[in-house]
Amino acid sequence: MKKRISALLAVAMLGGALAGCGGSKVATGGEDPNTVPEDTYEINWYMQGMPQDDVASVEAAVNDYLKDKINVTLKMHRLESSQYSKQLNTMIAAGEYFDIAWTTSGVLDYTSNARNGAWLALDPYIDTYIPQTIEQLGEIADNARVDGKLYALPTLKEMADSRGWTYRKDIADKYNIDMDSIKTFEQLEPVLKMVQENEPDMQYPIDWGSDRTPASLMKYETVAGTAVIFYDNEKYDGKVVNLTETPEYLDACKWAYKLYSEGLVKRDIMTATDFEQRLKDGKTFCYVDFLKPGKAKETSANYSFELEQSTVSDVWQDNGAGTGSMIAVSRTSKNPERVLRFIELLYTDATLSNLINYGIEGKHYTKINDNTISIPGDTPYTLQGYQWMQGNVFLNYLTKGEDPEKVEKLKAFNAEAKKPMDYGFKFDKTPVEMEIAAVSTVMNEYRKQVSMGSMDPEPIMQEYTKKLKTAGIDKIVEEAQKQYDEFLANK
Amino acid sequence: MKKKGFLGDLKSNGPLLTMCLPGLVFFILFNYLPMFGIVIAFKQYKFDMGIWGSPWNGLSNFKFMFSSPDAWVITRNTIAYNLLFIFGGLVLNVAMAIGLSEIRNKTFSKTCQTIVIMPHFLSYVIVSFLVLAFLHVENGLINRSVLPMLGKESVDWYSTPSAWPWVLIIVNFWKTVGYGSVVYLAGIAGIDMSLYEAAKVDGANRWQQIRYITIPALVPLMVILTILNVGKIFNSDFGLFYQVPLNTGALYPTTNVISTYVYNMLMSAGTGSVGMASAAAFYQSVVGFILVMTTNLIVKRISPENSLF
Repeated sequence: MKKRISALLAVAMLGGALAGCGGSKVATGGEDPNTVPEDTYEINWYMQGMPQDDVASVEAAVNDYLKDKINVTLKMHRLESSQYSKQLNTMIAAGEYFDIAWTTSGVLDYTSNARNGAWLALDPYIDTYIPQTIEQLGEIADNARVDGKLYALPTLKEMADSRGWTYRKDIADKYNIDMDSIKTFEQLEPVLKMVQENEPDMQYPIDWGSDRTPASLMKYETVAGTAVIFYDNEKYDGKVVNLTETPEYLDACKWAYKLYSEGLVKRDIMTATDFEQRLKDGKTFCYVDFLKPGKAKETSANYSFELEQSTVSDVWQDNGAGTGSMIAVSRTSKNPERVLRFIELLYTDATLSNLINYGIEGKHYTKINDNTISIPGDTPYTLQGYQWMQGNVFLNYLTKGEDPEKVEKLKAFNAEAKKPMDYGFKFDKTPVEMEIAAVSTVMNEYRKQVSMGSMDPEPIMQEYTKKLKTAGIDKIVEEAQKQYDEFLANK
Repeated sequence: MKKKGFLGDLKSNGPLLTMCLPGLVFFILFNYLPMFGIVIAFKQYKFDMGIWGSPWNGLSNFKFMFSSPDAWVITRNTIAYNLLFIFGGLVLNVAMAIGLSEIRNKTFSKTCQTIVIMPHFLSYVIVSFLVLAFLHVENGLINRSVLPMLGKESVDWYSTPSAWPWVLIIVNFWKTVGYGSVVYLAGIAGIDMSLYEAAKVDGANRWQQIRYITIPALVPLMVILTILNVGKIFNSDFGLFYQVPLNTGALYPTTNVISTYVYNMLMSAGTGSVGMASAAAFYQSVVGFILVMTTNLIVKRISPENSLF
């Protein structure tokens, strides 16, 4: 008797375990993209960013608008950056249902999630459901391919970036500081000291978070772990190097330490997490930033002062172009065809795009002219500042104060960007997966210690490098170099 | 006695067994069912293929744990902190319970009890900010008031790993001792008062009463709780080790334990692997199981009536 009961139990448990984890197969080509379907489908879209108060009325407006087009209702789940990855990672691991998620090469690790089967492969759907999106994205879509398959769609926006300074215009004007002439920290340091001396409110004239440190002024491509390829430095042409062993990186870290020691940056820089709030409070004069045309204006749109930007590095369109912001469809979506029809509209329909990005006219913003809007500071809904995270930013209205030629400038920026000689290179991590895992735990421990400036980087860098070597960084560099050489040879 | 079989058993003990049911269901759902997940430790888990469909990959998930350069540090930290917490906690919990029970004034005793139990109800996220309020490099109480008063230079606590064993020990005991003493308080309340009266008649003082009556009466409880705690020696208090140091890399040499290590590894880009996490959890459980059995065996040898099973 006992035996039978326990056997029964075991079977029941197995059944439960299987039911919880069974894979779902997706049928393709079930829907004609030119008809309005009869059943309504709810799309659950997970976005990262500040939650907005009035999502409900925007959703209602979107639903109204889409009812006669593709008959979907939209549910936007906005999660703050501290929660987003954790919640989505859990949902993915548990096989929970959702339709769309935002992902990048860093956030929600696009590539490994693609390899592990979290996203739906989009290739079978392209011709039927998202032809225009793919056409507009062009070669950028290929950047998002993993092992030859497309799992996510990049946001259509500026595709290049440069490094430089973002600074407060009012202060620069007041003291006649010409930031365009400043290209190094050596030149910046006396300026910072002068500002600190003359502005009692600005005790820490430079600031950074875990990125945007002095080392961020360098442009390089991360292959895996600390194995990198430098762009702006001929010395390293054709070479994959370990970042922590380059004098350039040590030098940048030393600058961070120097500025910290001289009291030019906040003392608690290591533990503080409110970089954006500090910026908004206007307590700092400048910081290192990743730049595109109009970036400073966009950042300071809701600030009480104006920011200006000045480029230091060249403009590069690198191998990561596009993968910095993408939306992916979950393999758990119950109706991927409909979701992709929605996405096609998102990339091509200006009304829908503006609705999602700015909300409802008269309620969340007012129109100044055909293509320019003004957003009140206390609006209960706006994704301004988050536009780069979804769809096609070229469809969106401009906001007051923005350059009327922003779109043209962004397009010119994309066109002007230099491409590295390894453009299109994709590192296959499989042979060194174990080493990468080990290296990234070492990076967790040391990266901030050397780059944030609150500790003398020289002894730490040695220890860091030593530990990286134990973890197998040399093997990664070697493998990367091998693949890199092969890629260049075949090009 | 006549054998009644399983059904007969069910019938005669119906009400009692019904009372066990919720607990039983809980353990089946949350402790036994998930055991099937162990297979993930031996697989390269792919979300779309499910648990059974994913390919096997032998022991390579375990290899990661042991090939890491930090394996020694995290194992040392995990075991050393937990040993300290178990045995330090044992002493402090019992001492606190005895102290509280010896306070004769009821109101005062209850007030003290409330004060020491309170920290238990704070989440570690809040505790971490309380700690930050003490240790903040610029505005923290210690750097701002205490150290200047002693004429000392301020210290950047979040870059000074050597200070953190103390911080963690203090925070841990501050948070757990009050609650940990509750069980012993109940134990003390259960001691027959006539024993104390007899001792008083024989001329025993307070100290002798504690030593010869209270403590011996608490020994079975201490043994059981310690065995159970030893079993959890590989499962560190995640909140304490992750939240309180604000997950600061510079402090890893003294704050990184197996749980935080695995968590950080899973959360950092490019390594997310359910298989490796399962392997670590499997390893933790196996070691925990062995430790419980060993401790119980030792106790059984020394004093059989106190062993757990």
